[in-house]
Amino acid sequence: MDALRGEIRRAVRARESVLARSLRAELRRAEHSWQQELTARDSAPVEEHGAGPEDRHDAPGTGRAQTGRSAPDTSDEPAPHTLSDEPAPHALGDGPATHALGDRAASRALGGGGAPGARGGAAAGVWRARVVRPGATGREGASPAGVREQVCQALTLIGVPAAARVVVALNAALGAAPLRSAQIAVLRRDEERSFRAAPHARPYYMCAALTDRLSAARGLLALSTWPLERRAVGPLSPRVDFLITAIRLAEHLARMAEAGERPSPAAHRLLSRLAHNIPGIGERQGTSNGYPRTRHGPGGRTERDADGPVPGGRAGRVPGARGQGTTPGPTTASWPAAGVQADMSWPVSDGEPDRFAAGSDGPDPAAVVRAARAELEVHAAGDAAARAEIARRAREALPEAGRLFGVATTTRAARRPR
Amino acid sequence: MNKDEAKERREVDLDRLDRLRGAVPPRPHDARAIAALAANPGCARRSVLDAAGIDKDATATHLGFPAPFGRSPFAITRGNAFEALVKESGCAELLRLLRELLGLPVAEAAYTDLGDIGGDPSAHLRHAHTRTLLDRAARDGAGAGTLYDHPLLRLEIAGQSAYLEPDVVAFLHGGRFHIVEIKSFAVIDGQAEPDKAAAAARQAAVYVLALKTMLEELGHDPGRVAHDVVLVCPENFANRPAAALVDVRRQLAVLRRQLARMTRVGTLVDALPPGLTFDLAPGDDGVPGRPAAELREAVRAVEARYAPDCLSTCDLCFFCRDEAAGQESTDLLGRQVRDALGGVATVGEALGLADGSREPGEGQEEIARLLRLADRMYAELS
Repeated sequence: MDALRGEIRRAVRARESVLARSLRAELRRAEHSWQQELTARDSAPVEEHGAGPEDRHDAPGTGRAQTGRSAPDTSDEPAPHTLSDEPAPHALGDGPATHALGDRAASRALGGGGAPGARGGAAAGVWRARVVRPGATGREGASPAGVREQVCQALTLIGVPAAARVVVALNAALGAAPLRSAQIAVLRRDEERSFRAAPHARPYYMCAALTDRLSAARGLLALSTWPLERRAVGPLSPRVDFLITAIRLAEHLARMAEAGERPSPAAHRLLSRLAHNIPGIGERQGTSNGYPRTRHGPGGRTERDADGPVPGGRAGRVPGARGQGTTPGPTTASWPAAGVQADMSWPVSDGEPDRFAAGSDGPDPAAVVRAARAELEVHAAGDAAARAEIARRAREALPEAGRLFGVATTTRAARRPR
Repeated sequence: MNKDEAKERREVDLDRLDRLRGAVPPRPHDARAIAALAANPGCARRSVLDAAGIDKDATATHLGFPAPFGRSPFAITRGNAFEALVKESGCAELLRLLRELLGLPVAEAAYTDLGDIGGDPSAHLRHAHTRTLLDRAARDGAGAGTLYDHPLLRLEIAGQSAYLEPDVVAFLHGGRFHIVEIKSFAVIDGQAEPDKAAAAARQAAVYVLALKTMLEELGHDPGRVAHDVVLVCPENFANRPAAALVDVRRQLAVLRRQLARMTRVGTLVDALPPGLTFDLAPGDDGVPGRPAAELREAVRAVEARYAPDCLSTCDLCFFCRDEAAGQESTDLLGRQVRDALGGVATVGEALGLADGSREPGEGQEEIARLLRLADRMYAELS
């Protein structure tokens, strides 16, 4: 085909239009047969993949080519609507062929199989093997197709709409190739364009979460395979989604620990960050919210409020949370010695404190799950009702593309009686 | 003065202010600019120029004293990043801080983004949306919502509407609204830089005033807006947010006085020569066509009250400083010295009184005695 392409270029340069036309037709035929060959090979075991199509898969824009209308092998797959736990059908080795089997096989497994590779330690390992490029260094980015898969995996892990920053952090925590928020923004626009041009050509889409005005929630990413109720965002949903994110990450880390895998420090850091904002964690460690008392110490108290009481953590209000009403309040008395030590032990690399630098290697995932579930109970009913209402309105009022990507409702909102 | 007369007077003032400004649209005020008004309430020049909505930056540049203002892009990026951190995941960090600081119950975690109403809405529409939802919150009480992100408030400044966007408005179970101000300067060991903390308090006071005004317009008690604002800053050398309550009653009082003064700017304007204008007469290309010397005379016709603090808040600061230096004014030495030298207008006069070469005038005897004492002590020491 390369030779044919060269011939076409020469013919065009020489202004031999008739020749160029016939050569183009020949090229099209060759491409078509190549495509058929590829389809046949794709259904065969993975190990049989030759080196032939690899360069094609690695070319930019492959994601679009493989899932667009021209690729019959993917368009006929049913869109996945459930998250299955079954292991990926492909056995992945470590050799170059595995890597090169590339994005197509990976995306087929993710899209068609339901994608939640992150269930269980072994599955997580498979997922990482699939997403992390062998030899990828920290500074290398993922290819466009890789970005899509990585975002999908991160979203599938937590199962709720998430902001790009959260996706990036999750992705880093799970040891995949680094992502940038900008890549995700581009991806989102591309997904919408793709859907509007050829609906359902891809097995799943990165889509929007819907606000109560049925517009796309700013900055949130969701998967088209989720039910509308999960993609709707009511007033309590950001908090509920935050808690679910913490629960899913904690469960994932617990599974990894069960499987004997050691999660990365980044994963612990992320869980620490999330856990820090959930009340009721950390009394076990004898600190308020699990952090050294320094963070609740005198810092942040300016001379203006020095005389005002600063109530302790309100963790005790969470029903079922550990240590009801016993959370020690911030005390300036505990500040000097312990505080300085804790300050010194904070890693300065990203300004993010390692909350258990003193010995333990992160918050206890079980405690995080427990505390998050306790708070979740408080919000769950109200949030579910709000989401169901938004989903109902979206179903009634919006066409399919609108349900996935939201509508600009400035004028509609202005007119809608409230 | 009855209502009609007041209205008529206001229209005359507005007309006069339009003439002072020239043929350009008035420059909208933002919270920083309004807060800066409270920083130097005694300056008639600033009051008149702001009331007329004049672009002070362009005026200063044309006068040959451009102000090196504008924040560094690094500072802006850092500020935005810190704000994003605090507001991440439905204001998860902020909720923790409010639970610790104000005792917010766990059940109250609702987050409403008032800026996200689909499409690219106008300021007017966003303000209407904010108004509707905060009205509902004030009426319904508990369960109406807790955190309101990107609200858009409005404040009338001398007849013009200024739209203001506080970082977050928190509505608590006690039926009180709190303004949350997120700033990226660090609070190290419990201490923040006084200048920055004061500027943040002034800015937050503007929001408090705007929110109080809005509740009042909606028929609610303006006292439901807490005068304690929640200031969120990074703590120590990490990026971890910490919150503190800052009482802004004093800043509110100053701001109210200053805004009332701007509304009554007519008395200041009446004293100005008729026909005075600060019009830059820009050409089609936007380049000012008015001779700089003429503009200088016009600006000098309004009295300024320069203080070194102006260097961080006013676009015309270098012009006023140059003017004060030319007149040997004691203003240059700072407010404390100026107040201590009450009744002595220039540095030359103060030196003359100190070395005895100048006889003290009426009422200057006391300050002259102190100056001579200081001069004697200085001579002995040096």
